[in-house]
Amino acid sequence: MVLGSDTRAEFGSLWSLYEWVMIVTTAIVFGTVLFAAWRYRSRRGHAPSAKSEANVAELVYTLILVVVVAVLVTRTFTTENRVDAIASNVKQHVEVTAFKWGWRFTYPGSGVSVVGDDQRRPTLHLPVDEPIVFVEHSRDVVHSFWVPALRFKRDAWPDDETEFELTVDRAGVYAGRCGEFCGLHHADMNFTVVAESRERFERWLRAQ
Amino acid sequence: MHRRWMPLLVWAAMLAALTAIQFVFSTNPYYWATLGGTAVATAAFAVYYLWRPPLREAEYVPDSSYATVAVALGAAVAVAGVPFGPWLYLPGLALLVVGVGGVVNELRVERSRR
Amino acid sequence: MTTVAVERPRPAGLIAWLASTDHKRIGLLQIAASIGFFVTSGVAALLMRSELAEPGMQVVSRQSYNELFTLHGSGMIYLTITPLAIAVGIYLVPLQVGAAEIAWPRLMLLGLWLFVAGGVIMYLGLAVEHGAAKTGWFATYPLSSSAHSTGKGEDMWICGVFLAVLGNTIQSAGLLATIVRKRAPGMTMARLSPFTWSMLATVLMAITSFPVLLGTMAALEWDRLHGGVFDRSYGPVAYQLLFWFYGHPVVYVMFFPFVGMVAEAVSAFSARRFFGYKGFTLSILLFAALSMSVWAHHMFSTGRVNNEYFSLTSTMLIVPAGLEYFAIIGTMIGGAIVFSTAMLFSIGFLLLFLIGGLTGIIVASPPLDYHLTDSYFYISHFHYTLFGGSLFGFFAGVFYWFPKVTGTLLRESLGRLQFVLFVVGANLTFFPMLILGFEGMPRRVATYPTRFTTLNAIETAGAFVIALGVLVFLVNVWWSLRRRVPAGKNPFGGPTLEWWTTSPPPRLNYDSLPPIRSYAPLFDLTETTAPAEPGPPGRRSRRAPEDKP
Repeated sequence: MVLGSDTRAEFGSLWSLYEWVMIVTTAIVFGTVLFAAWRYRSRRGHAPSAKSEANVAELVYTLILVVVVAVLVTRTFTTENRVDAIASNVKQHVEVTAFKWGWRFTYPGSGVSVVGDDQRRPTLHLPVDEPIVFVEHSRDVVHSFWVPALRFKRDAWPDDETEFELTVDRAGVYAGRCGEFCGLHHADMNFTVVAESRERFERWLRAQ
Repeated sequence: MHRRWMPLLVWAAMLAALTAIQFVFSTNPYYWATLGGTAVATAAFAVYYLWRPPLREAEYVPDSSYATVAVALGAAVAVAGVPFGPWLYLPGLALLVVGVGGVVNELRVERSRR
Repeated sequence: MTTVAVERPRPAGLIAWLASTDHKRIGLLQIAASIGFFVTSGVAALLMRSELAEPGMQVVSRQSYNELFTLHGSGMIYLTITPLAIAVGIYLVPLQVGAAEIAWPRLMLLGLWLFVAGGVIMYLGLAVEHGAAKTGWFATYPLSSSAHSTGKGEDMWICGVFLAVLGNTIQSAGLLATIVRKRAPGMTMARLSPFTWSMLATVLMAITSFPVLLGTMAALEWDRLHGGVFDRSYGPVAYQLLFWFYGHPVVYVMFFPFVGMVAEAVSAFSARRFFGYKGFTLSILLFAALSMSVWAHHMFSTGRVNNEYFSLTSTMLIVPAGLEYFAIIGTMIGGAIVFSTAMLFSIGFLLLFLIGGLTGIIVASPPLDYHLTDSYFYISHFHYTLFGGSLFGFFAGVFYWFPKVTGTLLRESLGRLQFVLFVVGANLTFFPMLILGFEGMPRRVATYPTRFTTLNAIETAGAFVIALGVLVFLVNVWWSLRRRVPAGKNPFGGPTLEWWTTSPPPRLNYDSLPPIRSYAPLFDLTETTAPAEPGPPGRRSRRAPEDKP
């Protein structure tokens, strides 16, 4: 099992770091601005300060900002390496074809193909707890394969194939969307993801 | 070196540094050609102005320029005419030419008043 | 000062105004036109939000909705905030550098009319068969090709964008010439006001990135008419790489002048010279340079660009942005703050833009962006920066400089009301979008699953609160011009050169100039150690007698 393509967990972990940085920054800036507005309001007998720079403080502050950037960039790069990685010897492959305005999912080797459009939503069955390699492409304009529950989307292009790898870590039914504006029925270009155990998945596959 | 060009040269240097960093990650020409191009263009602009003769001291300021408005509207109609055809872009070009002629005339009058 | 003669007698009447080469008139006309397009784009937004109040289609068709969001985004970016950003520079920069006139006045006038004509042509697309453009403000290819977008509306959009951006490019070049060549004696580059510095950074970005857009739009139109440009392998990616090379710097062009306005309003209403000037000017150049290098962060989910480089440069933006906050907040600290409407909008700017900026740092991380891009999280991000940032900064500038431009004061009571409506409306409209995007609502959709209904309804209410605020502003302008309260030369004790001359300034801006020894020349003249007396908001009473109304 390749942890790296567990996009939901990777997103959650990285998001926690960023969320923490954002909350602390917001608290500091809001606090400083509102405190300054109250403390330095115009009052009788208080002249404004003539100081117009604080170079040492500014330098220290800049260094702190550089450290924050370094931390965020390092965590982002390491996470991204894992999320973008595609393992070799992966058992399950799915071919995704996007078109205006629906999806076709093909399981190579089994001869099974599921297709649907904005009138009849297609269902994508996937086995849980194992890496799946997706190869997607578009028949017309740029679309994007997006499963919000997996915290991942990747664009589908008409002129070339795009490959990515995902692992669904728990069984369930998830919404799938098109994540790139593609014309009149972009809002209706949805699909359903059904993630189930290997046995049930293979049973479904044989029944097609 | 005139200090007024320092901000432009500093900016060109920053762009050049950011272009150089690109090569650590990728050699895609869409990256370095666009960003490196702006660095070169900024530096070239600053250098050109260093050698240019200074502007004239005394100036005559016109208060209005109808010819300029004609140039703008002519250009607009000409551009809008590109997808529609000559029935639109030819009159646009005609108005543009009339406008440019008017501006040339205004400049001539201005030079004679100085 | 160079000797200048001006045409006499000065032509009067509306037609003369429309063809005027006076930078003050050109600037005001462009501001008025931008506000006009702001209202039309805002009406488009209200129609969109009315449709989005409930799932399903009740108000417009899917086709119309796609036209509306295209016109809203395009109108706000190409026809409102960018021309507005250049226009405030056209008005203020010659005054702030002590020049009698702007450089190349005819070209500045040309730029104004190219922009207005471009906007009209874009909207005229509504009248043709198949309607106006429906491909969003960046017209992704191949959706924008002739095969997938039939009808002349798309072509008219391309022409309109081309003309508007051409006009703004020409004007940016003229502003650069003004800043570098037309400064008064003593006004060195190191004594430029914070606003003029922000305009310098703005026009540098505009001059170097806007021409790429012009070329890309010409290429797109050629592709639509004859094919053979982007309809090949890597073509669609190439289109995006070229578009976003313009598409990122333009959002900073839409931001920097308003940061400059906030910097100056905060300085005046804290009665302090601007703090950390050296850090501010260096960081604004760094901010501008970085902004030119981040553009493919709009393409992280394509899988076709080097995510690491663009993520690195995008995250580095924290440094100059943080330094600008340091300088502005540093000006407040130790000041004697008066809570005029301009100061309120400045504080609102600092707090709301922060949310926009921080959400930007979040989506600068590709693993996070894979989920959040093209969702309502994004829409929240850029509305906090553009509305909470640029527009709040613009209104801070309006309430500060209105007396200089017109000779009369804007009503503070209506200004406070507008501020409150904007703060409430902005947060009601844009904060829930963070949640909706995270939960999986894509952008550019006219309908959505029913579980998103409550938040969408709240957002729609917020949009109408904002609209009410805009109405209050327009009433304020009309009322203030009708029942005039004379402002005098320097009602707020501003430190920069333009407060030396009359309100409004004469045709050639200055009859005389004070000595220029720093970036706050008027503070140098009247620097006292006397304690500040708090006057009524918007009125200063500690300035030298000749500055009193």
